[in-house]
Amino acid sequence: MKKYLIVLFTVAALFSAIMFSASAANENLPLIIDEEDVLTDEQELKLESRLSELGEKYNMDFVVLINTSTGEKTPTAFADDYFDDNGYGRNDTRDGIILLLSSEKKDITTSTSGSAINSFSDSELEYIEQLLSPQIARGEYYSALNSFADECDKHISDYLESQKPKYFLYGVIGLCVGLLFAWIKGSKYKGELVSVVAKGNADDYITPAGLTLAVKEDVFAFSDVSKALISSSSSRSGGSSTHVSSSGRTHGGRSGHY
Amino acid sequence: MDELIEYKCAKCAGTLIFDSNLQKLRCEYCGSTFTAEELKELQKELFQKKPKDYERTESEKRFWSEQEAKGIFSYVCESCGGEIIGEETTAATSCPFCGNPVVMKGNLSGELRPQFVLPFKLDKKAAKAALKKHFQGKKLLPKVFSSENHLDEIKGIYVPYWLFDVDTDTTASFKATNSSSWTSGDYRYTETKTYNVTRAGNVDFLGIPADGSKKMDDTLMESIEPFDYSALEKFNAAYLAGFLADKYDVAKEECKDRVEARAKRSAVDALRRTVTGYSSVTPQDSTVNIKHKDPKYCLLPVWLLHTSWQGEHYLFAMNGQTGKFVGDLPVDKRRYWAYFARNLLLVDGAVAAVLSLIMSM
Repeated sequence: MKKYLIVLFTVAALFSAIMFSASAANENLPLIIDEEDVLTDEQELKLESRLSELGEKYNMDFVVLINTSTGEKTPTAFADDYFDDNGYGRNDTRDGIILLLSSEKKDITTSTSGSAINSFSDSELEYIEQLLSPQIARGEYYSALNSFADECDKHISDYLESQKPKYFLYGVIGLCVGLLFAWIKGSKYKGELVSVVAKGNADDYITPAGLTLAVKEDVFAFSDVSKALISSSSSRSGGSSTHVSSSGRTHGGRSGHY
Repeated sequence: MDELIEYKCAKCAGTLIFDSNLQKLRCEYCGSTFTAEELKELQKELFQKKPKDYERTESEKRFWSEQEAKGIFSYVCESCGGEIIGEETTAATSCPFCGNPVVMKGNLSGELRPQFVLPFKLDKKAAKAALKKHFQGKKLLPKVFSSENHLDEIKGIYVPYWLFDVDTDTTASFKATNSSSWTSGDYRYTETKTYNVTRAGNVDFLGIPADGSKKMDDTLMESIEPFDYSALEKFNAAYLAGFLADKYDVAKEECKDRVEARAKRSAVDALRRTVTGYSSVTPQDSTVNIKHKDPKYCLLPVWLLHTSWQGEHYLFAMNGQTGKFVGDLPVDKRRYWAYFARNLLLVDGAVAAVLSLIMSM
C-alpha cells in the first residue's frame, strides 16, 4: 500500500511539473524591459504584476520592451526576433504579444504570436497604437502602458466571448428559418388541394400568327449616378495579417510612430 | 310546349346513345353503331313528324303551373310514358324511369341551335378514374377522404359556351432601366439609365370561351380550359344522346366584359414580352381597342362529379375532351400542423447545428 502511494505521489508530482513547465515555461523572463529607464521601479513592479496577471488569465505572454534603437533591423523584425529569441510565448504555439517602443525613431510596434494573432486584428492593433501614441509622445509611459494592459484585457476578453458558441442565438435563427420553411412548405401542400382557379388571360387562344408588332420605340430618358462607400477606414473589425520572422515563426502585428 | 327527340336503333328500335370512345351512336341493346351523318337520314322521318303538342296531366295542371313559372318543366317520355322533369334550360336529359336519352328539340332550334358541338372523347369510366387520380399525391388530403368520400352523382353535360374571336389593337408604354456599376477609390458608382419604351401591335384571338350557363360556376369552367377546337363538329343533336345538355341562359353580350378583360391582359403581356434587354421593366400605360366578331354558340363536353364527405359537398369538373380534372379538396388541419411542426423542428435543428459547426471552425 505504501509503495502504491509513493508511486502515485511521484506520478502526480511529475505530471504537475510537466503541466507547470508547459504553461509557464517563461515565468522567470521579465515582462517589462525598460532599457530607457522611463519608468520608476514602483511603476515597473506594478506593470510587471499587471501583465503577469493577464498572462495567467489568458495563458499568453504580454511583454513590453522600451529601448533606444532597433539597429539595422526594422522595428517589426526586431520585435519578432526579441519575442522568439528570448523564449517568450506560452504553450506550443508560443502565444503572446510584445509592445516595442523605440525612442530613436519614435517607433511603436506590436508583434503577436500564436493565438494572439487571431485575438488582435489589424484594426485593433491600429486602435491600440493610436490610443497609446499621444500618451507616449507626452512622456506618459506609465499611463500608456496601463492603457495597453487594459486594451489587451478588453480585446482578448471580447475575442474569447465572440468565439463562444451562441447556442441560443443559433436556435432562434434556426427557429426563424424553420418557421419560414414550414410555412412555405405548408402553403405548397395546401396549394396542391386547390385547382379551381380563374383564368386571368387568354394566352391559349392567341392565333398562330401571334403578335404583329407595328411600333417598337426605346427612347433614352435620363441617367442617374449614385455612389456608395465601399469600406470605412475607422472600422475596427477585420482579420489579422501575418508575416514570417527570421526564425521562421509566423507573427501578426504592425508598426507606426508616436 | 316542347318536342322530344329520341334516337332509336334502325335495326331493333333500341335506345341509341353517343359512345365517346367510338365517336358514334351505339344501340344499347343490339350494339349497332351509326355515325351522326348516317343518323341524319333516320332523323329526317322524326323531324318531319308533326310536332306533338305537349299535354299536361291532370296532376300537372294542379301542381306544376307555379313551378313552371320558376323554370321547371315536365315532359312525357315517348318510350315508357314516364314523366321527365327538366329545367327551362334543359336541352338533353334521360328518362328517370327507363333511362331513355331524350333531346328537347325546342331548346336546340332557331336562335338556340348551337353552331358547333365538341363531342365527348372521354367516358364516365375515365372521369371516375380521373377523380381517383385527383386524390393521389396530396399530402394534406385527409386520409379517409378518398375511402369515405361518396360519389353522389356523375354526369356528362354539354355546357353552352360562347366562343369569341377577338382582334386587338394595343399600345403600351413601359419604363425600363439598365444599371451598370464600377469602383473608383473607396466608392462604388452605379449608373442607372432609364428608357421610355413604347410598343404597339395587333394580337388576335380565336375562340376565347365564356360559358353561357348561369348554373355553371365561371371559375370552375375556366379551370378546365383549354379545349381543342380542331375537333369541333357542326351541331347535330345526335351527339347529345346519352348526355345532359343545357341551352344558354347567359346572353353573349353579358359575357363580353369577361372575355375582353382576358384578351386585354394577354395583349399587353404579349407586348411586354417584346421589351427585352433591360434589368427592370415597369408597365406605365396601355390602350387596347377591341373588335369582336359575332361569337359562335357551341356545346362543349364537361363531366361533373358531385361527392360528399362529412356533410360537405364537393364539386369536380373534367374537360370531356382533354381530361383536365379540377376540384378543390379539403385540408386535414391535423396533418398540416404535424407537417408544420416536423419541418420546423428539422430545419431549426439543422440550421442550429450548421451554425454551431461553422462558428466552431
